[in-house]
Amino acid sequence: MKKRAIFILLLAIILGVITRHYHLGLAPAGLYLDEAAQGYSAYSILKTGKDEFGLPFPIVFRSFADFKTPVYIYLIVPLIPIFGLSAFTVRLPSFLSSILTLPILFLLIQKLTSGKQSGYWLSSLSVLLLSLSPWHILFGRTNFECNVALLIYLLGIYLFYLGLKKPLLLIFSGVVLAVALPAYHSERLLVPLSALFFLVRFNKVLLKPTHLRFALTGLLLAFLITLPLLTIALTPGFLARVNTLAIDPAQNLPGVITGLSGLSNSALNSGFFLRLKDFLALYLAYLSPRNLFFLGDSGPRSSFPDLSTFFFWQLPFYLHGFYLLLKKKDLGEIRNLTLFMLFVSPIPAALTRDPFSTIRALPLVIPVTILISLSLIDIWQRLKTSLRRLLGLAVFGLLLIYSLLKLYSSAIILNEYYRAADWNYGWQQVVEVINKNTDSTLPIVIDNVRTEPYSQVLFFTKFDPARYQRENFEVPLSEYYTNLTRQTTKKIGRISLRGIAWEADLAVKQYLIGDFLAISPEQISNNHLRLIAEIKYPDGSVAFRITLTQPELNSATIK
Amino acid sequence: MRAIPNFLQGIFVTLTIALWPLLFLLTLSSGLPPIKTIFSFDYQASQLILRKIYLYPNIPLARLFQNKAQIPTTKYESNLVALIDPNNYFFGFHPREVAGGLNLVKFPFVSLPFFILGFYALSKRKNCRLLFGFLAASILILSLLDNFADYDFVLYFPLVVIFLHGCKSIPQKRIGLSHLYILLALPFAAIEFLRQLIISYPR
Repeated sequence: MKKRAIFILLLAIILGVITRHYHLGLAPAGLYLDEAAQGYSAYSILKTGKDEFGLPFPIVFRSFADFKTPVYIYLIVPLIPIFGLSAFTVRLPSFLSSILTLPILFLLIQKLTSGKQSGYWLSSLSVLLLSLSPWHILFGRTNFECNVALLIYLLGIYLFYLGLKKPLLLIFSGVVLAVALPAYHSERLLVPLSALFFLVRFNKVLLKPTHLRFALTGLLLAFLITLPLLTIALTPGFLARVNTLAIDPAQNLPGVITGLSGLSNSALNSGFFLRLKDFLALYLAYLSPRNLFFLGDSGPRSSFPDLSTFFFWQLPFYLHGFYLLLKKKDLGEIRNLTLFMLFVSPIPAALTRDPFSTIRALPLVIPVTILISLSLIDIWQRLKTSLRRLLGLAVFGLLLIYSLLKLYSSAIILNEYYRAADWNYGWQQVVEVINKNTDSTLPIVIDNVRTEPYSQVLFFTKFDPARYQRENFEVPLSEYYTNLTRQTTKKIGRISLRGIAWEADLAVKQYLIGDFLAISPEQISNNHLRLIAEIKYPDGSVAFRITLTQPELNSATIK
Repeated sequence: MRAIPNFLQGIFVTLTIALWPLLFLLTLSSGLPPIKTIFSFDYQASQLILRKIYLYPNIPLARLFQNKAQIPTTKYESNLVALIDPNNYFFGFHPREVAGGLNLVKFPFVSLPFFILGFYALSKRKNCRLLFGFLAASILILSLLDNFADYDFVLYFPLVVIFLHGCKSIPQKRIGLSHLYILLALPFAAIEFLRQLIISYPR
């Protein structure tokens, strides 16, 4: 049985590598601005020891005043000298985390099922399903911090359970969980709640003399690692994401009945009532089959077209697995941890107003996968005859093949065609044209009214970070975490990123670059612009136009 | 002494089971619309499939995922998951309301724990198969309708039985946490009841 389980684990890892590595860096085509910003921040740290604003080794990265979590960015830094600054490199930590999650989950389930035969089935089936999980694959192919955070979080939990038998490992568990805390925003809530869960559940073991000093050392080290984060915990920068994404203030909450006044308004439109209802609705949405197996995430970069977070065929197993988990009290510690993760993972996401955010609720993929595996194992055990088992195996095999093909259909074919604009496709091509087809003595203006491409331009031009820090100012470094003012005008050598001022800009010989709205065919003909190149999306529509002004023609027209 | 908790429980139960029928009657003022099934021709969906077919590198792959059978299948799946979505019954599908649908709140959200209790308690009994079978069959049949939200009132009866069973599974002879919950939940149930009546009342 152990050999079969390891075989399935290896198969899962191979499938995981195939589904995540195929066209890594190329699909999704395009590099989203956050991905480019993280990549360039890592490049800037590598070259200068400072981020793009000149702060040495930030605790959180200011970026677009959204203060990105630091762990992922620092993970990219050592990869750049090996693989260069590219979309592949910035997505590589996600890929590696995604693959490493598979054996960690396998070992964790093994540990929690105490080496029972059923445990081998559960661990191997869970990692097999996770290797094909659309939810997990999406974040394993793109630059998302949540994926790295999930790996670190699971590793911390695994080390904790090991530490219950070998107390020294409690120290490592504390350290790893402390690193998970700044890895992603959701973990800021999930890790403390998990620590509380372990403290309550295992207080008798942790308070034993054999364990206490190691537990306390682990806690102390965790505190020391978290200290830099705590020093900025109350700054507007650290709280930026919370403030922009939290459930709306009372007056903006859904469900407010208009036309009421006085006592009826206070009672029926009570802020507390509406917020509680909103939170519970958002929370329940994360356990709802409708979202997990059909709708998925509505965000174009958090989902694949025509595919939800799980495959539809897994729906009945989810419901059955849910029932089994509640009914079977003899499952052991795996039951307790799965229940905990199932009901606690949605909390950080449910505190934000987005209806179903797969990024913020990524840890939920683990307990749901375990539920589905539980159900499949239960059904397998009910198939008594070898003919029925053979048939069951054949059906399962067909479903796996179907799932692989469905992934290819949605993640590669449809995603590339329909979501290219959402992934900011085209900026690499724009920079290539700038490098090859433009006069290097002439300035360039890139319109940034509808988007913020400066991170992509920095990334693809591999612009000197030291020069960028000198030539661009946003806020004094002493106000890095407190002042949320943004300068949207950027200077990258001869490239200026700002809105096009038509009258003034047409009078200067320079290149104007913008999207299909900023530089339309009418503007090209009315302003005597010379079209240098058009960058198109995979669906054939125009992404960007690169044009050259002709002041001599414009002034002749005016005369 | 026990009369007060029973009285409060009675109000709580009444508010819970009365909401959906009242809202149904209010929305019924314009009459039930004709039944539309998922098999009715959808021109836009057909055109979308035709466009997508050309994106695939080979015909078998294209036909596997982009075919006309996919249209009613996808509609069926959409209706099925909507009918088993807890947010449908307790939050009017919030935060992902159905465009063009009724989006009615059918039960106050504070009554959810009793439905869970009821499901769990009934699942242990062998003679509840008829009830669950009726519920499952109703859901599967309703999923065949495009406008299932206009006819899903048939689910009221089995769901109320489950709810009442959940209430019955509370220990009646001594006052405990469940009674405290009812005491705290009662104002919320009352507020939700009034809110939904005001929202749904025809103007």
